[in-house]
Amino acid sequence: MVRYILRRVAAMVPLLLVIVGFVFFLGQYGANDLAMSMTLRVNDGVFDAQIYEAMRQKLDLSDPVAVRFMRFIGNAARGEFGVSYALQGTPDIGRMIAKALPISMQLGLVSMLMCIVIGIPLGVISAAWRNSAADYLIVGGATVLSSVPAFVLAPIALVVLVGQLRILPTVGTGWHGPFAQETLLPAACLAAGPLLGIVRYTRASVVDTLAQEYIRAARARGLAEWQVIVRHVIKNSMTPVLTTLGLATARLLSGSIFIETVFSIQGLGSVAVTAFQAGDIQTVAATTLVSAMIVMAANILVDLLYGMLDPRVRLTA
Amino acid sequence: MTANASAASVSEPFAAPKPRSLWTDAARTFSRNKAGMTGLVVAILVLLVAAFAPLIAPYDFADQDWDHVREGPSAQHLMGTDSLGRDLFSRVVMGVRTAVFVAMIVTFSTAMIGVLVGALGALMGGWVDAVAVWIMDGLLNFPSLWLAAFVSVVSKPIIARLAQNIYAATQWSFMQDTVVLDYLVVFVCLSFVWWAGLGRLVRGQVLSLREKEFIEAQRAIGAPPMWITMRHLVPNVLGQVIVHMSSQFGFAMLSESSLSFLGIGIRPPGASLGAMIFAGMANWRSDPHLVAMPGLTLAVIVLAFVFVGDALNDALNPRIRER
Amino acid sequence: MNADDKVIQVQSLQTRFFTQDGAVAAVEGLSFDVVSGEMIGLVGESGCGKSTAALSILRLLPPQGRIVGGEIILNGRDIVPLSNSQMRTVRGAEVAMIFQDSLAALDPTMKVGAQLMEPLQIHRGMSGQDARKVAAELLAKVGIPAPEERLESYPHQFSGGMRQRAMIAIALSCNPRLLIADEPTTALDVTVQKQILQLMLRLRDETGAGVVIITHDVGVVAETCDRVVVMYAGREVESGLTREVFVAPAHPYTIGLLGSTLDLNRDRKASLQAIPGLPPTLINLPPGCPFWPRCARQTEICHAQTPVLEAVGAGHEAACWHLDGKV
Repeated sequence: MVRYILRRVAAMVPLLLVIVGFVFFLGQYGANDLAMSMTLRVNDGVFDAQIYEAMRQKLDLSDPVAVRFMRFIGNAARGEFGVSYALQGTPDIGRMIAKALPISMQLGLVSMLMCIVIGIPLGVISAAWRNSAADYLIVGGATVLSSVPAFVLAPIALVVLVGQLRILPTVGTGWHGPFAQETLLPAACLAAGPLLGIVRYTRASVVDTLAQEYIRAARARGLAEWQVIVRHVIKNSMTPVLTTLGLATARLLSGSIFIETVFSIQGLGSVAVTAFQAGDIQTVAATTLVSAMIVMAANILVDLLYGMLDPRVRLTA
Repeated sequence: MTANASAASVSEPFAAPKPRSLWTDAARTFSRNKAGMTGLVVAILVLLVAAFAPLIAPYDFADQDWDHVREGPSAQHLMGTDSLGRDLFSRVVMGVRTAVFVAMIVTFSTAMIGVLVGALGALMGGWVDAVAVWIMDGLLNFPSLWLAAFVSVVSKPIIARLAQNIYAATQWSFMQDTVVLDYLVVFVCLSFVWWAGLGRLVRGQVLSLREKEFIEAQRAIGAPPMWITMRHLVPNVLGQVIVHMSSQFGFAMLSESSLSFLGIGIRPPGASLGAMIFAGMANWRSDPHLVAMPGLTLAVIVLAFVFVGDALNDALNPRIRER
Repeated sequence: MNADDKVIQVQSLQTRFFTQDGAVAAVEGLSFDVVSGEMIGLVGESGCGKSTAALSILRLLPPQGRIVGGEIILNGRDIVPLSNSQMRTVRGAEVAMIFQDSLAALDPTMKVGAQLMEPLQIHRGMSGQDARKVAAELLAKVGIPAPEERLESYPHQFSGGMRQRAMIAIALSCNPRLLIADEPTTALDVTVQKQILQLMLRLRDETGAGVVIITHDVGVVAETCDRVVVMYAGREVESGLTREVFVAPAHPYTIGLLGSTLDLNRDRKASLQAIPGLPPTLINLPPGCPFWPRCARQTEICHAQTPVLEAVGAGHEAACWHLDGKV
């Protein structure tokens, strides 16, 4: 089992390099212009070669590409992303991220939990009773919920649930911890996005499993339908669902950009949004890199869970 | 029946029902899917609205009428007016046009890039394939919107400079138009981000088809490789590509709105549903229609395309049919 | 074998599949009995309805399938009208099925021991410990070495032959009176086939159960079965004692079937006699004998009227208008 883990992690290394490379090279494009715009800003809109060079030095742009790449990797590994030139007070990017990340992670985990706890059972139910009214209702409902974009859903939810129906308390702004009442709505809005994927994949996987011969063989032994589902279907259906969870992580991260903005939660998404709007390439690059790392970590986790669930994978992969 | 049976040849009375071509079969299955048909109707409607937007919109979308500010829906203004007195319906219609335009270009370009890279990688194998896989997997490890925003922020100054140079050389005035630049930026960043999904799909399909026995059989009878590709690979892959493209359309619209919502997509004076929603958020309590109208319109359109995509999937990639 | 102890009586069983393209008459008026200790072979080509008949007995038809007529009297009571929850007590306990593909019929993520213990825990209410003991005994009984360790293995860690033995063990676990084996040797190597067949014969002798072997391989039937039922297009076309049917087949299809088998003693220069034509699709079959398009004896009456079963010997019957070449 340990060997399996090591093997999976090792396979990720080239991927890691590619990802870091992407961010680095994209960032480099921007950096030149940053230097340019900083030069112009400092020099009243007049381009001066000397100042430009100095700016480039400041941004470490004059060294050869390979050296800069190495330095980038080294710094990133240590959490040093430099300083944000776009924001007031040029705060340290690494520190900003360090403060915002735990909040986003907590929000994300709560949402993921909601997705799993609600989505998977719904998928199993709609597969077991496929083509029934319940099936159409569940899949249809999830489709509608998922198609409404996060930044539309959130305000509508606010208007309806908080404003008109007064089911939920007035949503305070800011973050109050993962178990606070105020977290319920943002987490739910965030979870709405990946929910459809989870329901659908679970349903498809369960339907596939139910068509397998060993399910019929289990029934032939005299098992009741619920016993068949609990003992044989669930474990065998979970692998595609795990893949979806990996995809869901990416979707949750994208969604968090909006949810955090709408609900004024100071997470990674909020930091990113400010940076997007200010054209702050350094911060944008840093947050993008971190988000990609999170997705990668989720995918590794999914791979590990595969190994635990399906003994065949452990022995052959 | 008996008369036919005795008059017919030996094998006829027991012949299987006549086989149907893949496409007619698919069309029949699709037409039976109620959600898909509804979605199709809505989608066609949307495309028509987008095409004829200036004719449909009762007011010019930038027209400000200070006598009717922040009004709810009425006979005069179907969806009400915004804080500057502009007719919301006209604005929504123009926003739909923007979204559809972006979606069409992005869907098309991602399909081209994705199919090209995916098929090339699978067919050529070796290091070409390895590099292609690395790039695609790498791209897919980013949350798409984040990466899109990143690319957007990065490419804006580059495209701006490029436009400047082109303008200097050709004097084409539209190169100076900020809205055009916004569009270009959005095309670039969305295409950059979304092609990898289709690429991986196509690569997988081509790989598995390559190994399938019927290709071997074709080679065994001496069919040239190009012929193999066209006759056999393309129809099989096409189904998946079409399904992907139709759901991609909806996502592309969503992405454009999302970027505009954040302020890094299509900015004023360009019309975008996302930007409208953002503008309306400030007054969500007092004037919910400012958010609800563009928001629900967007949701309904995306939903329609999702239904169409689902129905297409059922029709083109049939699984074991069950009652 | 006890001729008075009828384990199962299938009478005029009719099973249909209701599909988009029409109703498929998968089993049409099938009747046979099995007494305790007897082994019966259900023979026919793919798609002739033999597997469907087996699934009908277990009431495990897919959603489009339904028994539309006939009776199945198992241990004295008709099980056709039973509800699904009532059938649960029957499946595995009174009648058990051995599936064709042992790899597909076992849950790949569950240890073999756990799957073996399931019927013990469900039907005999055994505790985990007791079930393990009995499970190990069962594995030993079917000839699997080191049974206690084998309980902890996963299906893919067994060889094909051992897996099939494990499947047999699972089927036997609650001492059912009727065993149905669906192509028990098709997926196995020839040498392993023989071992499995001998195992089944031995277990039949030990437990006195009635066994139905479903196969397309007439060699298997010749080796093991007391009686044989030949099926075509969902119908019985011939049945009787194995040695009688094989020595003196009456129905043209049976003749063709036996004629198309390989025989080491056959004249090497004589070519294999295949039956011309293809089996029919069963959707909306026209009236008349389903075999007539491929039959050398066919005449007008064969197109119009479905032949009924007639006796051609003691306990030997066939359905043809031209038995023994007679009109």
